[in-house]
Amino acid sequence: MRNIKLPTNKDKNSTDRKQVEEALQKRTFELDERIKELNCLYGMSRLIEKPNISLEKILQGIVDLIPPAWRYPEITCARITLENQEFRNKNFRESIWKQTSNIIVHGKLVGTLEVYYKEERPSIDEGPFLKEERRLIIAIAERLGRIVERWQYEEHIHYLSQEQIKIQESERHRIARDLHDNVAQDISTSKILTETLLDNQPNVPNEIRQKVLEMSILLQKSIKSVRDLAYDLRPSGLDQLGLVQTVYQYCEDFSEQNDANVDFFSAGMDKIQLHFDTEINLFRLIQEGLNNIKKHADADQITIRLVASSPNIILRIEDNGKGFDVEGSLIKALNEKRMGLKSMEERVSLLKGNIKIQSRLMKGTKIFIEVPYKNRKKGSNEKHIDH
Amino acid sequence: MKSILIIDDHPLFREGLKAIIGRSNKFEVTGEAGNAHQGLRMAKKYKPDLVVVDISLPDTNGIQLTREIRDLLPETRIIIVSMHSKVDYIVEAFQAGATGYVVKESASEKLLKGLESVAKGEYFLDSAVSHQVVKALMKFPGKEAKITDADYGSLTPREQEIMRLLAEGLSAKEIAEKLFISPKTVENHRANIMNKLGLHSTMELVRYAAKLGLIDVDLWKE
Repeated sequence: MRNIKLPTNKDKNSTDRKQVEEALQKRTFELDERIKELNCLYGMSRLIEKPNISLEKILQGIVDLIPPAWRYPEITCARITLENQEFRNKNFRESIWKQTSNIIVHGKLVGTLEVYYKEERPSIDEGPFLKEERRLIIAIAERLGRIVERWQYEEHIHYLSQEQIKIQESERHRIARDLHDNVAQDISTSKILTETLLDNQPNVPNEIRQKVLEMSILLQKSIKSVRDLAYDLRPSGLDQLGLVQTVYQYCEDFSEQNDANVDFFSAGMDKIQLHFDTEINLFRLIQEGLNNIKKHADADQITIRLVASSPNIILRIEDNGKGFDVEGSLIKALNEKRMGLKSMEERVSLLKGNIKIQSRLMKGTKIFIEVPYKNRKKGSNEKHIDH
Repeated sequence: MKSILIIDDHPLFREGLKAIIGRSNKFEVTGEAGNAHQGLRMAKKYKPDLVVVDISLPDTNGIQLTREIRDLLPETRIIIVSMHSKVDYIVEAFQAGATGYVVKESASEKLLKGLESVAKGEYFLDSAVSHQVVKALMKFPGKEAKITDADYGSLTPREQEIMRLLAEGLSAKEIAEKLFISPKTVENHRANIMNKLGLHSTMELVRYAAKLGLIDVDLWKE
């Protein structure tokens, strides 16, 4: 009350000081409010930059950043409504003192952001809310729209990469089968027909016999190439020998063809009947891992472990090569369209597992993959990747 | 003259086989079939001395058909002529009762030799694939032991789960809480694991888990 006493000459100095102090207080209050707003916006930025964070976690996080940014945090609560989803603070309660802003995604209204005061406060710019708070709620709602858009794009890319893996696998299977069952079959038939063509034809000149022999040799070469190609496209052993034997064979072949020793060991895998998708993708992961090592690592010792650890399967691929900078390499790989590691990541996420890549320069690289396994279901509902 | 039944779904290939067999006066093709069903019917009817069977047939596969013919006509010798050159197919074919195996593309050089051997009651394996088979045979006895761990394989899924948690350093109480079971049950599982793997201390268990790749004791610090 003393503050509003009329100034007298005697008080002049102290009145000036009071005014300055008041102005200072007001400015401090305003700055505090701005800092609260900034904290909220920075908090949002930090939230969306967290690796592998889900959209739900982002939205819940944002809703929890809102009350501290408003003038009366203790009575503020907020709610994000997005299509059929809702995110709100723990103590959320609707009231008549509210501020809302629309959330627009791809030009369409998909939800709202609401901020409530649970108790009455003096009216100021917009009911009890400051005009700055109106600007803030609009800014937050706009960013929410961009976040959802970005998330949808990422989901879509993710979906497309996985579809691509599935399609590639089924195409490989189809081509391998066609090559083996039709092309190689027909060439074999041609070879036999060629070789029996001159049976019971004693008068054929030697020159022609020689030509026919050459044809037969050429056909034999074609059969071998077609076989190798089919085998590269699709390890036929998976259906016959199972994953462990097929991987073992692949590692043996790899050791023989490259100057690297592959130490493969497996445990507990024979008991589980893996779903076909899991099996082929685990095999591809090993294949891609080994090919990456061959292309980039310059390693001479490779260790592969494939172990059932219920309810997961652990796959480790380690080498003693020259290593690389993991983060940098992923970005570079994307730019150069070298998809080795990225494609391994997509495969793992297709199997709903996780992958950890560690690398040390001049020491080597360790890849740890863990995927849940489902036993192969007997019956007609089984969804094969290749049918 | 020995009678032969050819079962293959490619008419042109059958033509080729007939031409090859026609080179010899010891054999005579008395029937041909384009699928397993028809093949089995003709085998029943003509009781041939020899049957030439393809593995890929439109209805049943040739290995299954081999089993059926052998059960039906134990005297009849069966020789497989197939596109497949992988060891597993070959092994399966012999297990099913075939006594000869020739890869399709080498039929013109090998088929007659094969038929002669098989007709005499011998086994015949195409030299185009025999080296793979021998390679596989040489690896066979030690192979499983070399690349898998039978002891670990004998653990139940629950034991596998608990073994990993133990190896990661969790106490019985912590594991019990995590898996919603009693600490006593965890202890029982632990005893079973140690017993099955022939281990005596947690230290040994950790080492074992590291060797298998369940845990990585040499994690580089981030």
